[in-house]
Amino acid sequence: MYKLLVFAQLREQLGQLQLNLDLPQAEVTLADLLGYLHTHYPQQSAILDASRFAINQVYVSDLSQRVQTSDEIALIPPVSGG
Amino acid sequence: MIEVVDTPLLLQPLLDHVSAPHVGAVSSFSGVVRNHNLGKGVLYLEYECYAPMALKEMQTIVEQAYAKWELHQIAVVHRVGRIEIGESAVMIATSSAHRKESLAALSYVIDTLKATVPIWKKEYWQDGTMWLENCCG
Repeated sequence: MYKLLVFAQLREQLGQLQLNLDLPQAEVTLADLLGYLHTHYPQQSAILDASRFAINQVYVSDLSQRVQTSDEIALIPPVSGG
Repeated sequence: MIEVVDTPLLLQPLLDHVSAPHVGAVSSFSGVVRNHNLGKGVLYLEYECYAPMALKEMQTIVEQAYAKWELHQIAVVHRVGRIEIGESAVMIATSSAHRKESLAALSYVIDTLKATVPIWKKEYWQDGTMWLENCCG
């Protein structure tokens, strides 16, 4: 089970701060997580595509990056601080 | 001094933090909630933050600024939660021996913060709400 933190409009739309993603395969990449999210939340596709991943609180733009179930994975929608 | 807080911001502690006898320039920025945006009347803003990552990103920005300019100190404090019109959401202070460095660093820190730090604001209007997205530097 992969834990994914979501924020702002994604958190509101999905109704929770943390999603538990059940991907069966042994090796999972960020692209796999994004695909899973598109499949399960098709109405969120625009915001999913506009968001960036972070692994253990660091932005990762390479979607071929592998993730572990122990990682803190976050999906960061376009930011609006300041 | 890099903080995320949920209480009203005061500038003086930041100014005190960056001041020193050899400093000749102290520059500061306060980002304030205004009562209009995109033609809409704004009632207040609600800020949300991914705090541990926001602090890391702010630290990275500050370190980049120290590497780019000869600075004495930088202080950055962002507020989260509900913030009313006229209240400050972010305060930054920089200091250096001469003004150019502190002014350049100040501009860099706020611009980069707005582009990368995982903080979000939601506008509340009379007739609706909207999550905002920073753009255009």
